[in-house]
Amino acid sequence: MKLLRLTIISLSIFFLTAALHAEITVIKVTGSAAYRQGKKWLPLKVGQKLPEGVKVSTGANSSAELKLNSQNHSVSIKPFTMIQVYSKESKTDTNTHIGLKRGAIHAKVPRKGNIKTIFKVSSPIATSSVRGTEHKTSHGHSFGTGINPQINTTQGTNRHGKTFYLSGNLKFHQRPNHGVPLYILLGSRNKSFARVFGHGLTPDEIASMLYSDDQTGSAGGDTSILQQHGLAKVNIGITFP
Amino acid sequence: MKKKSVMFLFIVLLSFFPVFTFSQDMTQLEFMSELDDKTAVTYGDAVKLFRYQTGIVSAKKKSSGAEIFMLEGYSESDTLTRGMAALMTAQYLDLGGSIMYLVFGMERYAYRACIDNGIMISDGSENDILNGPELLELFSKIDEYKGGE
Repeated sequence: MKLLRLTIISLSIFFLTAALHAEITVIKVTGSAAYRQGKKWLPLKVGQKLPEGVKVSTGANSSAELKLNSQNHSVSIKPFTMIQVYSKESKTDTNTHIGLKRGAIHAKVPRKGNIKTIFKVSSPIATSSVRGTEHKTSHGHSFGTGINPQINTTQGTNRHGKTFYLSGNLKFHQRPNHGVPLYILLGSRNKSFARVFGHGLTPDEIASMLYSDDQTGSAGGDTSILQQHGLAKVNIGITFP
Repeated sequence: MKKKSVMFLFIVLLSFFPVFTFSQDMTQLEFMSELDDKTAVTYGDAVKLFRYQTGIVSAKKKSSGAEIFMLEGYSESDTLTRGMAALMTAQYLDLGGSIMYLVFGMERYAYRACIDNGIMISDGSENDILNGPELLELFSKIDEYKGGE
């Protein structure tokens, strides 16, 4: 009787635990992509099932895509990337955690019905949590961690708990050895304002001065036009944002 | 007899099938895994990664003179500095952005050109020694710059 009870309990624990682990499946491989088994790297194959906590790495000009559970949550792994994947699911919720050691990934987390979804990507210095459906996360030794929302909202948090909600052009960037992330609109600001150097010249203007064959300014050219003085009318339109 | 040898040939071919279909370069990934733990990398390590990046790995292709990232005056065992890596990168990507690099083509200005193009970060000098994770990050940035997958 005792043996029967023990068997039933063991079996139920086995089945319950098995149900917790989601199926991690390889859906696309380009170039050289591998998973770690013991101390060896073995090639990834399309359709292959991977165990919980698996480490995946991609080489130069290589990428891989993994399906993380039955809800079609997936991650696209960019070249020179190494990640570790944990994925659990039940009928009511999914819980995915990706450890990003280096490189970049693109996570797609579509929402279905009332399934409670936890999806986190952690680097050594920051964590992104999906509140929408798609985001890119990258991590490198010098640049640190970057989180870039693609669709809807993503949350970026550093190790000190400083959190930003990101959408549109807002980007989270946590540099190593810095207490706070960079200004989340920094990328947009840098795109909006051109870099200027001495005398207010842009790099293109300096390059054209150095390399263009400007006849009016050259020693042997016709410089008479430069000696003429006169008045010119100039219309200037100033737009304040 | 003939039937048996055909059968044998078929079995041999079948056993080698996975090797043909999934021939991926695992040495590349082992090498990158080793780089992760290196506190200082060499010029040779960078050349090897550039060869993986360009796909120039065979001796035949090497002799074609397509290795535009190579630097003169360095041996493979020389320690790699930020400036050396920047010059290799600037040559490989044909970088613009820094006037001084366009004029002089020196390591110092190649480093500035890499910073201007968002490939390197401006928190050191061109004489700093690169470690393994930094070199791998540089290649992620090169891939990003090229608009890779």
